[in-house]
Amino acid sequence: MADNQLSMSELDRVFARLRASEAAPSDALFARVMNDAIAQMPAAAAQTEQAAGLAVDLAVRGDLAPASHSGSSAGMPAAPRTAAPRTARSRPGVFVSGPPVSGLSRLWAALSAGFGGAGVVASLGAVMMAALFLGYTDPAGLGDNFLPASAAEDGLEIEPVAIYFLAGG
Amino acid sequence: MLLARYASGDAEAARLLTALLLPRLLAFASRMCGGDRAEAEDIAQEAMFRLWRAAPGWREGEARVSTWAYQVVSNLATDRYRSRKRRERHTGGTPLELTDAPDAADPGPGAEAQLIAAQRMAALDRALNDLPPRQREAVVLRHLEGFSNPEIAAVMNVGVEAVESLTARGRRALAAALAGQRALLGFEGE
Repeated sequence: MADNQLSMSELDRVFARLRASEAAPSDALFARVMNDAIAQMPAAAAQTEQAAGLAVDLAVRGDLAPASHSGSSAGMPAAPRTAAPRTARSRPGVFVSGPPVSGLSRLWAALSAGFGGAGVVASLGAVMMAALFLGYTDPAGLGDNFLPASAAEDGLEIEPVAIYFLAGG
Repeated sequence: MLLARYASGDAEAARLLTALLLPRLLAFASRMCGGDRAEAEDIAQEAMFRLWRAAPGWREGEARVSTWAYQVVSNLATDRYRSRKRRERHTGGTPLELTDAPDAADPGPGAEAQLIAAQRMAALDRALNDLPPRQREAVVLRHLEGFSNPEIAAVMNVGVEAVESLTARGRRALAAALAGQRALLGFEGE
């Protein structure tokens, strides 16, 4: 080893100087990396798609004008305020396939949220049993109600068993 | 784990991961590509991008995130080094352009001290950059990034013995390269 060669302790000081000279990332680089992170975030992407779908639904129904504010002020894409879970977990019996857009699906959603899917099915069953019972006790009256006026005028009658099937049982 | 939190949609985890990893990856990339700041920024950003892409399929316990990210930087820097060398072979060297010239030192108070410090850093950087790429990588990971030999072996995809050999040879070469610059480095008379 040559006499003027750096000793190991001197070399360690060299490394310390090199470490101290490292420049921090610029704000621009930090912003670019965070931009990538937000754009690639799986749940964010899913939530953005879901939000876009909901906005389209509402716009079609006339409840919401098309969005014009991106929510971005520093070149970053609009980030969702809250992160959505990666997989939507549904409660058993609750209809969760999308926002209610029709009266029937709204009714179903409201009923199933209140009573659960099984409760709704049981309610429908009770209604059908009541219809069946009424069909046996007052078949003529019930048949009149089920049949159109023109059919009644033609003298048509309806059997209680047919009422059961008409009711969906 | 921060990466798992990011994969489940936690933007704050992304910010923490970036704050933890980006400065280290940028410094490593900068050492690996001869102090070229723009290229180092490209490499660091690309490595972070690949990390975001890999997050959903990341299996905890399979690899350390930092080791994986350093490995990506190492591969990207090696690829760019090779393509630069190929270009230089075809063109007979890259002529310096005006934009390659370093900025002039700030002529403010303490300008002389700043100039000396800049000259020292330039000498150190030059000596480090003159090392063969594998030795430089091992030395940087060991002495600047503070990795253990097994961690370096994982990043460089070699055995621990090879890491020990590369590090020792790199240190010796660095000490020899700086031997004639003791005065510039401020070690004269010690």
